[in-house]
Amino acid sequence: MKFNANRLVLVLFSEVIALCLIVSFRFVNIETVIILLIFNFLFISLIFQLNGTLNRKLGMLALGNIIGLFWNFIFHSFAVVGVGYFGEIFGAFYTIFYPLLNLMWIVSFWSLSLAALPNPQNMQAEAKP
Amino acid sequence: MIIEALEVLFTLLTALMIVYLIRHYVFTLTVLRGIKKTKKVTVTTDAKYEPTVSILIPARDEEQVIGRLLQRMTELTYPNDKLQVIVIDDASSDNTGRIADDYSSRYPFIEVLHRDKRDGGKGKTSAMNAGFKRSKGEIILCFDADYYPQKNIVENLAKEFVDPRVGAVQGRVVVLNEPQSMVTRLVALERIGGYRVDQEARDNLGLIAQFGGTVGGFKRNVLESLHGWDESILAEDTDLTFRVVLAGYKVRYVGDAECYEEAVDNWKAYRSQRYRWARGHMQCCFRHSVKVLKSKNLNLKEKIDGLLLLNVYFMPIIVLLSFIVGVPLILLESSTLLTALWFSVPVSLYSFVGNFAPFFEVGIGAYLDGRTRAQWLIPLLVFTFIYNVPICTKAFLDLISAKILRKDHNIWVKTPHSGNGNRYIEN
Amino acid sequence: MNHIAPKIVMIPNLTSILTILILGTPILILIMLLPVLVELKKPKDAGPRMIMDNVSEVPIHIMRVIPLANIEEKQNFDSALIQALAKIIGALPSLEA
Repeated sequence: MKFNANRLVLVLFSEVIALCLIVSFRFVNIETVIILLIFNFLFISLIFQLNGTLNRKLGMLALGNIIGLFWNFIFHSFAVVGVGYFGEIFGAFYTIFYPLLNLMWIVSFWSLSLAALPNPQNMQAEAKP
Repeated sequence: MIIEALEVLFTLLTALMIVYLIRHYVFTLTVLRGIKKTKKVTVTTDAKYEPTVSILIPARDEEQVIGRLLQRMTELTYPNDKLQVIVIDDASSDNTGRIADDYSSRYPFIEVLHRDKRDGGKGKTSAMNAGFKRSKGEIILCFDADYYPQKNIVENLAKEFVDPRVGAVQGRVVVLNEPQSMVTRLVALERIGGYRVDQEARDNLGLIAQFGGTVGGFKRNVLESLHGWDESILAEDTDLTFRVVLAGYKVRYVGDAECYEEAVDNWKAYRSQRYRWARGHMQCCFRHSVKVLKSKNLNLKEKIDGLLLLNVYFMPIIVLLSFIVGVPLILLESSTLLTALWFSVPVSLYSFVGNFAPFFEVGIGAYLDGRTRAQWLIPLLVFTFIYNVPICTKAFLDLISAKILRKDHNIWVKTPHSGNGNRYIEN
Repeated sequence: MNHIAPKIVMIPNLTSILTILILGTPILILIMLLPVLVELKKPKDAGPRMIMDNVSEVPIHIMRVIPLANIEEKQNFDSALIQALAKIIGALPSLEA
């Protein structure tokens, strides 16, 4: 049962990630998909090598994708409404600052994820100087 | 026509940024996987390697911190009869000289070289050369006055010189006064990225690890053949690094050789220190780039990484330029590729800070150090980068103006040390 | 601005939605930067990191070093290209000092 439960959780998290990508493509824009793919690449290539269960890492990855999707949806909506209200100039601001806005959540979440993982096993013993 | 030219320029600038990002990503992966490409096979004998070591400590107006370091020198585990500690009291106007004399009177292996205002006060490199002339050790190590090493640091550094190919070594720097202010906490993060990952990876991959000016040293004969420190350059550490490798020797990074430093604790001191580093490093770039390319002592990967290392302080300027060039291009929406490349600009904002470690290098370094929440401050690194942009730009413009006006502006501005780190040792 | 082409076609009350978004955006950014503020205000990992002091003697023995073959023994790269690059860089003005 435990084995199946673990499997189920893994599948669930993987589905959430895939869903985020699909939803972002369908309801936001292609740039969001690219942003999420970059985030996933960084996360999988670096954080997946660290200590911690696969479930935990996949769970954090899924949470990151949800946050990224939500973040981009909010700002994309902001841009749409802003363009409708202020004109194309608002869209220009959005285009310029769009990558930086995404870096904010990527760097924050990625850094927090490190703190959520167990300490490395080969940590140096600590001694007062 | 202008649009096409701007597109080409923007593409080149972002391509350069992406090269650095890939470089640092490879470094991070290397350290994570513990990959070591330069390997040596060793056979032990019963003979013991214990060379004579001279430790040079340049000090000018360091009364707040010099006593702490000299006390530590008396606690080192290396045999005193093989040790020579030389304090260069460089025209100090406070009690630095008196404190050093006190230790010298009680411990025969500690010597003090007093320089008056006529000979001294000309910068660290001048002081180091004066100390070097007095030294006798087979190995020359350097510590700044505000540093506080582990007790067996001499053994940890000296052992690398058993390899005849090694000409210089560099240990790891850890910030002592980290909790003091936001500046010190951010500098500590920079150090983690720079030493725990960047230097470690460069050493593991057989690239050029950098001598950082302190917590490191040289073989005496190598330093003699290079005629010591060059007093005409602000970044004497970078200059020596490249002179050592161009002469055919290796610089080894020794992560186990750790030493505390007292980091700058306010933005004004940070600016002054980084300006000196940026300007000096740029001078080294102009001096050594061609030599690195032509050198027969460096292989291809060392040449490529050497060039990237030499040019690293230009990167904040490159990021600024790419932003200036990119904004009109993006607004005109000239091509999809440019829009995609635009993303690399803010990524670089989180990358070229301090020791030029990207956020993922800093994060992984903090994790490997067993830190639990220091990583939470990583998003703040964007502000230190933004602060570095005008610093590096000014350094470059000052170099240009010095060249045009034929003026020597190499004035060494000393970083003040308050001794605030002392409480973390006493506790 | 094709990627900003509205997926939401009908916006019933532009002003109120815009007001909500203008107010909500800084709150969202603040939430994302909350861990930074928490760690700054109430640090739980402010350091300094303890460095190890090995007081036990570390004997250093003379070691016979046998270097293994470098992975990059043969450089197939055109060294003439590197020399040409060196000439170009050498011709540029130097701001060394």
